[in-house]
Amino acid sequence: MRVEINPDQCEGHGRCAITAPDVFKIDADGWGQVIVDDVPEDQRVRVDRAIRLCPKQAIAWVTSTPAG
Amino acid sequence: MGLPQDVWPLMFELTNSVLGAGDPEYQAEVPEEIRGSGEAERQTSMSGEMRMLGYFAEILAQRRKEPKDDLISILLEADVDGERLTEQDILAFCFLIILAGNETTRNAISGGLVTLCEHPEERARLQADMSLIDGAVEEILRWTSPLHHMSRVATEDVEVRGTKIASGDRVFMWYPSANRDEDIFPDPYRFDITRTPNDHLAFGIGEHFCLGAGFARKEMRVMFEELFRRFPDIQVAGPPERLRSNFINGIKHLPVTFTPAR
Repeated sequence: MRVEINPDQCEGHGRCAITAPDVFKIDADGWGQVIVDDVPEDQRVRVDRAIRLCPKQAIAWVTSTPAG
Repeated sequence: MGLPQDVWPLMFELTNSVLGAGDPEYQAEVPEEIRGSGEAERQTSMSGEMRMLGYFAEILAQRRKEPKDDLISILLEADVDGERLTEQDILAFCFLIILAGNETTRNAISGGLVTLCEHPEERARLQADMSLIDGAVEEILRWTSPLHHMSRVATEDVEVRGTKIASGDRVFMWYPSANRDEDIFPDPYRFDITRTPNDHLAFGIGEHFCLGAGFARKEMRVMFEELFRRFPDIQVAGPPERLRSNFINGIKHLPVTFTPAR
């Protein structure tokens, strides 16, 4: 499963990177960044937590598969 | 915020007045016979607030005439859905930013130094490999929890671990307690600069998450990098003198020894 940060909503609080450091990091400019393409099974609970805790609600699972 | 450096000491003094109002050391403005009382705290805090708002009112007037490349000028120009912020909004914002921006971070830094000195093995690990600084900053935040609490009002009836909270009740969120929650942190009373994940709540939670978290982290990181580079043998030389406050986990005075850099 993939997870995404909406760059228009992210304010760089870094909450995701301390909640799920194996999935998110703060990039050099201070914004949240997803560092894995596919979230490993054992990280999903942490990612759910990061989604819930994001102050800007900027993180979401990617549910649709792109066409093609 | 673009304030000239010569007013920084005044900002420090007024911050102490507002946030350290309950500590007799900062109650110089009130009559000696009432120092240490609740009334002295109220008067000290009020006086600090009035003086600070008065100062910012002057700065706002100056920036209106002559905008600068600073936060206050940006706020004066700010447009929210076609509406400008009112004078009162901007003053309140300046007041909040200056208080929240200096008191908390400086206490995280002084508290961090005390903590590192109390845990010489963790400190040695950090000084041997300063690339561990980001994790160390998070652990210092967890460990010191510079703010003791914030409060919220429950919007619905809820039960938390057997305690009923009714809609409308005011609840206090005790960060030092949350940051030692054994369900979240294995071995919570161990100071570990490589703790991961480190899901602490020192910056709060939800929509009101600390606005300055990124800046605070950077200030702490730079401060410890520079401190240990220039004064690698710095040591706490006596007990910290703590602020009397149920809100700020503050250190007023901290004696240290170090070999001056050449």
